[in-house]
Amino acid sequence: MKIDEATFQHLAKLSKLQFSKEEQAIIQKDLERITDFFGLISAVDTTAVEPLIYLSEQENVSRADEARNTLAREDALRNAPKHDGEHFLVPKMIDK
Amino acid sequence: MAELRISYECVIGLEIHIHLNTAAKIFAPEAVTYGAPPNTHLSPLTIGHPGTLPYLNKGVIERAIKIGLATNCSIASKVGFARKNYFYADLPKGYQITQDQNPICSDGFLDIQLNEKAATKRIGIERIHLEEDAGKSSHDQEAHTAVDLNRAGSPLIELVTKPDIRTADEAVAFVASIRQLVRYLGISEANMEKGQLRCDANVSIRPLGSSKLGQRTETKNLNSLRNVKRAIEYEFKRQIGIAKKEGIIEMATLTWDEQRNSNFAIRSKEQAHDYRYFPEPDLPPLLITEAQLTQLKAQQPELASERKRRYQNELGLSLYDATLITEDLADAQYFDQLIAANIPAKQAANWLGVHLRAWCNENQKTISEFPLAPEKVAALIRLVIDGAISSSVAAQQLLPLLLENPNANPQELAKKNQLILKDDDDWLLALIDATLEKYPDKVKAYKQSKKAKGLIGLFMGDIMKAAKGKADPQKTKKLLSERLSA
Repeated sequence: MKIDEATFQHLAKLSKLQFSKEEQAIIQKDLERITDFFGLISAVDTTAVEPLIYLSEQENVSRADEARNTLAREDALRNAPKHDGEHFLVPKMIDK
Repeated sequence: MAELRISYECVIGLEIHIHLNTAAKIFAPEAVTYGAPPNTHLSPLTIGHPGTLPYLNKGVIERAIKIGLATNCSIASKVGFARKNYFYADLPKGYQITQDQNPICSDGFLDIQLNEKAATKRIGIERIHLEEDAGKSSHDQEAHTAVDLNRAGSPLIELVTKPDIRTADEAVAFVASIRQLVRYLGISEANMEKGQLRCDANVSIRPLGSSKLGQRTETKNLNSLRNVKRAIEYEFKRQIGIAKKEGIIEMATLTWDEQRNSNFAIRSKEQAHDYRYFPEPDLPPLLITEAQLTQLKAQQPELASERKRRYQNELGLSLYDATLITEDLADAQYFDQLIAANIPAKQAANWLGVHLRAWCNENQKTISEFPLAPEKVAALIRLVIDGAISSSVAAQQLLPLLLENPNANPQELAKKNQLILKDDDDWLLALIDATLEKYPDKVKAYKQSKKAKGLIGLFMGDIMKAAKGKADPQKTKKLLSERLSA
């Protein structure tokens, strides 16, 4: 599948990634090869086949509505690159 | 060329998010809370740790089906979820688990009324689906955005209407009806101030008579009925302004600025999201059987409209009283308890609608926070019915005393404060005569002219004042009339 400039830029934006011209050329080529590879699957006739969503055969897996806390705050914050003891701290973002 | 005057109509569709009142979150076991210290209700799943799997809470399914049934929706026989992908710090997994193609409820309707005498209007409901809420970001800190994930994973339903709403008032009536409905169903407290019910409004305009839909805008996160009304009215006018100048109304996501009474764009068409929905493979499908639906249907509580009809037909309440009492489920339940304590419906409605409501309004509280149990209020009303105290003394003196001593016995409290009516005709007649002697001219006027009948109010006032609240008004009136016609 041809990955054109617009599609590439859209994907880069969604992935929050930036590429140099050289990197872009390589990745764009890779993406085309990957999508071509998956394209092989299209050769199979799936007209009467239901889409496969779930790999397990399980159905109706649910739990009772009972609350319990499983994670203490200090444990939750332990892996965070930045925190103030109460909140996770992330780079400033204003959604406006 | 003469100026063409085009009238426009407003076309509105609503998206309403409602928090479900389950104990635990939708896919994780920790408690759903409001105002808890930040990040104290978390699990590895909620903070997006690898290797965790969502586990569906049964409670949310029952609640979603309840509102689906109450809004005449079809209920899906197979429920699955989908991932909505976007990047934001208060969404640690990088996607929100929601429903895409197959919502749990679809294709229903709700009838609304602008007021109790107006004709009903049917508003179509496109879908109701289940999803998880995101966390909360606060931007007050200098260098960072602070993230609290307590809310992340709280269960929500999103209800989407068809574009059937035509005015801001209809939109308000719809939101109010949904709020009342979920409270009656017991599936959400739906407190808009707490963010338990939030509303987005899709607004477009079209020339009156046209059946084509115009380009719509979406105003996000309206958190009060007042803001729903103001934001829609503002957007309607803004779009007409553009159309009159032959401009183009562009797709935009807007936010309502309550202080400035205007809106501003937070996202344009170019910035539109691409959510890349796909089925959530980690949650196995859930099958809903006819037997389950039949059982849930049988368990549906009596809704406001049914209760209103019952109060009118079986208890003889007026439309006005029945509407007032059924507006809020807590009021209706309090009323039922007064009725259960053998208080006649009209008196129960009157006490609840006038005196108890006055307390609630003054203290900005709801009836559930009223300090006196219904049995206590019933005992107080019983004193009036039995003629032991007058209704004005009961409301103005005994009720406040009782509120100060919520555990006291109303009858004993009335006795202690000498509020019991005096059952003594001689005493009452003496008071009546004293008043009549005070106003010989007016007594004469009363006897001579029919126009002076209003004077009886003056006499009554004087007598009741002299009786210091201990005269039974009805008996006094009767004795006074007899004296005057003698």
